[in-house]
Amino acid sequence: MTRDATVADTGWQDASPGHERKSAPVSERVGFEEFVASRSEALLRTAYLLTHDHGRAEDLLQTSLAKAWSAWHRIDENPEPYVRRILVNTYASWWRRKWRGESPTEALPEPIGSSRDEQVVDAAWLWAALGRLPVGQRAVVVLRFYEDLSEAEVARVLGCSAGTVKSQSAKALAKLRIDPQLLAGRKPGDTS
Amino acid sequence: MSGLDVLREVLTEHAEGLPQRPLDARLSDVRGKVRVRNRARTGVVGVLGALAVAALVTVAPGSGIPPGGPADVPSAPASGLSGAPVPIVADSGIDMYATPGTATLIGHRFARAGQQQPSFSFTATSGDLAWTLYCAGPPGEPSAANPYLVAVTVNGHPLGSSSCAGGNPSVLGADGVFAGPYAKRVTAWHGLGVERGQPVHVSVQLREPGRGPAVDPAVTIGAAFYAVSDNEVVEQGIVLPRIEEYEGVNYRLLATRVQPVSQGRRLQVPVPAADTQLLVSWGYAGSPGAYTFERDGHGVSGFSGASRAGGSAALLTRTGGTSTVGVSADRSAASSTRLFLAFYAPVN
Repeated sequence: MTRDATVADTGWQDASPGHERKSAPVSERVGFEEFVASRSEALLRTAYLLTHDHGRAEDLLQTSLAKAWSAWHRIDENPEPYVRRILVNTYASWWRRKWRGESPTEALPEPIGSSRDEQVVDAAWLWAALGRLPVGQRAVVVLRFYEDLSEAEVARVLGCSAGTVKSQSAKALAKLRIDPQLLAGRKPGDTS
Repeated sequence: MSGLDVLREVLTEHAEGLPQRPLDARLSDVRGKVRVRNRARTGVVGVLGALAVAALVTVAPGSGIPPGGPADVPSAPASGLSGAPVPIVADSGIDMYATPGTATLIGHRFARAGQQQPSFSFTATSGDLAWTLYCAGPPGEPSAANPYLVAVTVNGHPLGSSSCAGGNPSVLGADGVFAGPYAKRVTAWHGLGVERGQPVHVSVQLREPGRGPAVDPAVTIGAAFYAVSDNEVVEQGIVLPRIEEYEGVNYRLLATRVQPVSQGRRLQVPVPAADTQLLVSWGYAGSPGAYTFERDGHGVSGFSGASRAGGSAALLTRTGGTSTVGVSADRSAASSTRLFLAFYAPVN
């Protein structure tokens, strides 16, 4: 990228009030755009596993990238762990922060299509059960079992101790094992 | 195959194959959010482009309801163009809206995150509360707080925490809410020991991720709490507040339209004839999918795929050329999903 446009030209502005920087160096902007180009697909996948909603996942990713941009010039090393941390923390804060202009709604039950293939039924119920996990436990499950992060790495992302990660992970797995709808889904006709 | 293998497989299966926005579109959306954050922090209101959660659309004078359009959207009352501003209360140099929407400010405190961190009490004048958290570095260096989290407890129960890197709006409002209808929200607060007419004790704490409580006198933290009245309309299960605060102005619900996807994947409504600014909320309740806010039949850049149940807002003014607004769902939306549009007129 050889353009020498200013931030005002491209729309990139520093989000921090009172910040002296009026425009970002081109190299910084290129670095950010390269990061978005190379890593946003992976980050979107994580966001989707957290939110279970493609639209919310895209919004979560964009919000996290916008937050990261304001601190981009201060990131010296691989920015991905930093952005991932913003993403998870932003998601964790969404359960209590109203999206601007949002009107809360009653959640509708999402019927899961029946299938003769028991494994498919199991997978569908397991996905639904994952969506019923508390926010923190869902984040631990995604980071541990999809991202394959170690307990220490998850702890760094979530800003808690490795012991907390361990206990949250155990609680989440226990919840999934005894999820009543999951159990019922595995045993069609068993309504207990 | 072990249970953990199945879990990994389910996670991987759902994570793969997600439709991706083109890079340019995604960067454009992120730029829009950066601009929104910048404006929110500097308090500049009114210059809106293609934003992720709010857009300025304009209404042609006398556009009214086009032939064949639904006739159940009333005209807006002839009030002032933009409504009266919501009163603002200041504490320690931090501004808060006093009565945003149906909420009333009932308790707040802000202080440096020293050894004694802020705590305060107030009487819950409603069974439903809303709140906002604040965390910032010193003037001229607000990002000094970025490494921290601000956490709050209510009656000794954790309510939540937020990254200080997220910044603060120029005026705090009643942004933190439990989702759902009033009765459900009251039940949630009951679980935290909050009862109407009873005292509520709030503690705010600065925390360092991975290390626990932190002390940094350069950082100011705090919280504000609001009493929220039962003042909402439920249309086919969709909860809409009768009064909604938007950028410092309260808007009163004027008209709503709800349409199940089974009756069409596009809900399009003429903008009510109005001699005033209108607020429009849009959204859906139901299955995940891609939902697009439209004006004059065209998707608004930055909205597509960025919705969630409940929708977002746009501001309408009387000058310009928009005559209809709409919301559409792609084919992935279940037929039971409902699309909605709600118009609000400013309160004077």
